[in-house]
Amino acid sequence: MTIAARSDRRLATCALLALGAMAIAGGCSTQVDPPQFRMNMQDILQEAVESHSPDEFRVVGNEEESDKEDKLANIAKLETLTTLTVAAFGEPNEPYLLPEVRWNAEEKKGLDFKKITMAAGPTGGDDAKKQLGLFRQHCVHCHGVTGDGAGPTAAFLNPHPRDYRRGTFKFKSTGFNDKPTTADLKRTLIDGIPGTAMPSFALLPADQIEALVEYVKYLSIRGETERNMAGALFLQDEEIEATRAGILEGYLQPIVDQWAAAEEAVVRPTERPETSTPEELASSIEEGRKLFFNKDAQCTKCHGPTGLGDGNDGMAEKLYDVWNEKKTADDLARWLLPKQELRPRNLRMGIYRGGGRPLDIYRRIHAGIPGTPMPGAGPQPGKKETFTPEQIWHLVDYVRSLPYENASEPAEGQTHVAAAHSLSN
Amino acid sequence: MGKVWSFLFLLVPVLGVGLFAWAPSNGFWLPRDISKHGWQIDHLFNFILVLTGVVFAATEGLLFWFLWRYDAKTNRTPVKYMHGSHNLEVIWTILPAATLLFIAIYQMNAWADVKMRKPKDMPPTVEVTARQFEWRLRYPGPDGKLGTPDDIHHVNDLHIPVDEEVLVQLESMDVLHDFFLPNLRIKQDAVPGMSIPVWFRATDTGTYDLVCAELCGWGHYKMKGRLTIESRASFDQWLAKMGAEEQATQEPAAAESEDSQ
Repeated sequence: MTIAARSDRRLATCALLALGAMAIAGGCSTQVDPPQFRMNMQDILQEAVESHSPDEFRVVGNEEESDKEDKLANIAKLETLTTLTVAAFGEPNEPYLLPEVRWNAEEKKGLDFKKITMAAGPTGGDDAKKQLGLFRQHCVHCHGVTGDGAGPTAAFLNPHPRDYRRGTFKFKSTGFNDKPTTADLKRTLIDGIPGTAMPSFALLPADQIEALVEYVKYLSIRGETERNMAGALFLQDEEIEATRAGILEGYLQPIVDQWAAAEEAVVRPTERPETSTPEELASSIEEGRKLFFNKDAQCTKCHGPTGLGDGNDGMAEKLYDVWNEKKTADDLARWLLPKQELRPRNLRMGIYRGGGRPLDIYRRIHAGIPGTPMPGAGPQPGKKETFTPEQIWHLVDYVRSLPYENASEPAEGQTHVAAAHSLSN
Repeated sequence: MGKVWSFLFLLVPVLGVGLFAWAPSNGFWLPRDISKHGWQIDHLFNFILVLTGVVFAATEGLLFWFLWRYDAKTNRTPVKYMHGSHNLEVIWTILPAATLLFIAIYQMNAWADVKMRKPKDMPPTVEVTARQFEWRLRYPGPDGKLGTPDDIHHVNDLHIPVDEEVLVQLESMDVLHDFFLPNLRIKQDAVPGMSIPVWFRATDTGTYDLVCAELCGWGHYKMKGRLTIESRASFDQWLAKMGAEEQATQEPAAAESEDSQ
């Protein structure tokens, strides 16, 4: 063996040893920073400080003296906001809840902190092999650590995963402006949302589902509190009283109260008109068909005369939900996810995101879908009803009959508008 | 090479065969078979396992013997090169070819039972639609037909009756999935755009796994369902309950306080 070959071999051995040592040392000493909740204020900031992204305005550089003052003021506001939300809610690894908003069995309101700790934190089990860190195990890749619907897989999904921080939930049993009930969120977890990327978690044990629901509520309340405080600081230019009472009374308690009130705000429809015989059902469907084309209802405007969800096709004005409507082409970089157009539901697919029971569809028509242009047609506070409960039931029957009716050969009695539309397609 | 090395090579067949001898009695073997046709699959599995096992042991034994016999330290006879042996080549071509042909013919009946002899004149018991990352189920309602307003929809929780032919209509909404019922020895790809019939007859009740056996995306590992096999009576009862729930026009009293399955 030549000397060169021998030294090569020695070099290789050394390199291997060094690599091994590095791997061992690296494996032992690498400390990953604990995750943080992400600031929740893109849209607020957009209005408050027009051209600055959150990162941009943390840097004070060589701008004009007057601008510099503004910037410093904004940085101070940001710090206040962070301090207050962390004080009230803790961090992802160590959630916290003020005692005043923890579950109070007498008043039936507040959040169950025990369930929250079960769902929060890193994935793993405790000594008793109880599963912990459920949110990060099952939800975080789409909904994100903050519950902002911007996890790593979110950008690939249509629709984007729900951003809980507005406190707006689409599929629920309560009125348009109400929060969902605990049972609603549970149902969403168990049934999943067909037509979206939200899968069913039906096989998880009941206590895990309950823990996850409680954690979703926690993230939503956290996000909404932070958002309202950001609005006060940046938009209304208000001072926030940085005391426990200030946060509680001004921001946190009202939101927790709304969640508690939702449990009492469940929409309970009147008895459905008799549809047990085929004749009765057919006449109810026919009634519903007329209502579907009713001018006041404007169903066809979005869902289209055939119910294919194409009413808005080719229109200059696109539809967006509240999570997307504020995004503009020139500031997309500041948003976590690209702007996404909203598609009205195709009623002929037989896929119902909020559930396919007559009860679910009644509630959709009655209360509308918050965050989207779908209005509620039933009587609601401060709004005249479009339809009576009986009329809504007819609409339910019509909508539920659509998947089983051939769109290109409309049943007899269908209005000429729909017939004409299906011909022109 | 040294004789130590020869023994190391001998360890491979010894440990390999030993592991297979040890595994069945220690819970590492096929899941319990509860299907009518499953014995055919298991029989083929065992038959091929024994066949390949014998070949494996013989090959490894031969390797050991060569290492031992022709160890450079003890064997001083110079190497002789030969062009090859025509006879040997004919033997090791024809023997495996004949074996493979035999297996191909031998398994035909099992294949036909599982994939070709579809039960005649039978409506589907359930339609299973795979989707990233869950199993959407649709049962025919009281009219016994799929695609009518009384269909019963469910997810991830597959129920079937015991001791009865079951016909599953398998579809996919997005990508390739694979409908795998380990205890029923059923494994069938779900292909987007195709409706594939899958049939079987379960012989015992209980709850078992339904898993996806085709890498279908990042959430493949969590695409798990539960198979419940039950008597006809309790299956009908369950189906009627699901059907009634799906037609609900009022919140069921029990569901509001506690309903989490």
